[in-house]
Amino acid sequence: MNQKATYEIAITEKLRQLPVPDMRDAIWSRIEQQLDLDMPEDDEPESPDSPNNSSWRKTGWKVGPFAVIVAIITLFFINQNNRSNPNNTSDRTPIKTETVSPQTNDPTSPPSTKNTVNTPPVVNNGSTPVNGSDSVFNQPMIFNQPLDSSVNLPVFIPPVVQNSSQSPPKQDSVPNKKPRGVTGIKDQDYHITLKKDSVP
Amino acid sequence: MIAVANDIDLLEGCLSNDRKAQKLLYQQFYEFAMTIAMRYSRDEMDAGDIMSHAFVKIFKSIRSYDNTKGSLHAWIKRIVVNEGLDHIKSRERFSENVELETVEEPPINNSVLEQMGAEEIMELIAKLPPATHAVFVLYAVEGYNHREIAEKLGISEGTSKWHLSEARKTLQKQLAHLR
Repeated sequence: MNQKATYEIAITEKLRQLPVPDMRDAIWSRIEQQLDLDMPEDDEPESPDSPNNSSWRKTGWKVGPFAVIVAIITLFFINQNNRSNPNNTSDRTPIKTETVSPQTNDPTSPPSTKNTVNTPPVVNNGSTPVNGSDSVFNQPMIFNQPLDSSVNLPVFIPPVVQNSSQSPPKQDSVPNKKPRGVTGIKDQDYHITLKKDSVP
Repeated sequence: MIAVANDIDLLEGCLSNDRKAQKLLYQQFYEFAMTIAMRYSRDEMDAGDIMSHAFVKIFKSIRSYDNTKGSLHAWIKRIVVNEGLDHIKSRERFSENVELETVEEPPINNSVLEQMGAEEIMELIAKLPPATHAVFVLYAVEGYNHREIAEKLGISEGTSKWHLSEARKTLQKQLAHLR
């Protein structure tokens, strides 16, 4: 211990009376910020491999959106590639399309195998399901490139027009329609026949 | 008024890096540590810097505290003082060029000091050159001897004596102006 002069003892006493500035919260926020960086608080012990690990969660937040964006871009390019390259047969299956011959009036008769044509595989772009012939006919067929000669060309089939005689009579929209003409007079009444008396 | 928690409970919380326990320990020792930090600073901002660095060190090295070797107060004081000295060192390099065998003791009128407020005295001390400031506080306020000061600051005992003599002469001149 040193030998203090009397004035030094007086200085020490005075400095003990020095008012402390209230910077408690401001300083603590700086300390806490530094502690969060250097030694982050653990809420509960977790195994490092656990997916609930805080560091894994922090990384997941960063990697998650990036992975989604990469997946979307990849799907987009695959889609584009499939559209521009219709000869790619890897994911296409030939579709048997049944056509209805205009001569066949009986809709209940089974379709003839002669009328079945093999159409070239249609690329399903994912927006239209290929479940049957109806869905294929309802969708426009787009070919961007000339087809290979080995591939059967699609047969244009005109839309089927149903025979009007086959169709059931249309019912009038107005119920109890009034009959035309005078009641009690038939068509036979209008027939003009020559009578013997009238011949001179 | 902040409730004074049991030091052992606080230490256990701080050892497990519990932020609430750390905050409670900080609040419990705030005034004690801030009083020390202000002795080594020129203003409140400097004192805030010393405090934040000191408490981060305290929480990082809390495992090294051994209650058989001394009280928690003494351990925290040592860290705050060391941080204060580091702060002064960052402002000025401690010179080894000047040495003294004996410290001069110029007469200082005690009655003038008695009339001065604590803040005025602190301002006088803060005006000293940083190295002289550090030696004066360590010797006159903290009670270290020249050998201890020399170890802390990495200087010789003669240099420590020279700084103390310079501090006393400067203070005497300033107090003479205040008469």
